[in-house]
Amino acid sequence: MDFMINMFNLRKCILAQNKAFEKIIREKEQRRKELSELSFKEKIHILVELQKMAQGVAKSDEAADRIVWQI
Amino acid sequence: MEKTLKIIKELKEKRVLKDFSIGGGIAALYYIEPLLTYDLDIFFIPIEDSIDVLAPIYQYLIEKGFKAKKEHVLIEGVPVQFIPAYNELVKEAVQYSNEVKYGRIKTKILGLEYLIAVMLQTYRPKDRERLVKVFEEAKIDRTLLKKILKKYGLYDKYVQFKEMYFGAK
Repeated sequence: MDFMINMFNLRKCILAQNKAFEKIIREKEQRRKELSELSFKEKIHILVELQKMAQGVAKSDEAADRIVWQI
Repeated sequence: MEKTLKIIKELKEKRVLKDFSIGGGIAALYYIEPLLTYDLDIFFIPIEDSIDVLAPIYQYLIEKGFKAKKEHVLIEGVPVQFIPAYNELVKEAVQYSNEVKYGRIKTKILGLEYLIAVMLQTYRPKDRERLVKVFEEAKIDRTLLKKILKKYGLYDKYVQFKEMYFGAK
């Protein structure tokens, strides 16, 4: 939680200091909005890709507990 | 996933459970950008109150050849966790779920405002993380949300959350 509060404050500082960063952050927000508007099915396909990527970097005991969806 | 949802729907059709709705990370994902999660949470209302409300569901699924692993049942390649509607808020959330389509399958998913209320109630770190995204990305019916939060005594927590993460009400 502290991490998120810190990130929020950091983001505010960046916005105040640098217009270029502001533009980048705005574009990232726009991208997230676009992703949020994808269909349910498209999102599930992205989720499976995320699971595969996370599986590649997980510790072996974590990986055993986390199943990549076979859909 | 379509096959998984079909089997879950079958549980209601065959009266193994009374009603159900998708909750948790997958419900959040429906409303916001894709986020990493590993299980499909199904909130359900049992046919009748008993000590082990999960037993008929597990029995039905195991007879169909699906395997239980820890708190999940692996249904057509997807780990599904069945969670009985554990309080009045969750029961109402299941009752007023949205009907949505996944491919050709119609299923039910918690309404956004109920999902927010449930996350505010459980308030684990991952709920707070998802709540931030929901408030940034989703289109929320603020009137309905306020009504639900007031009914279940969560409005103050909501105000506190908004102040903490967004610096405003």
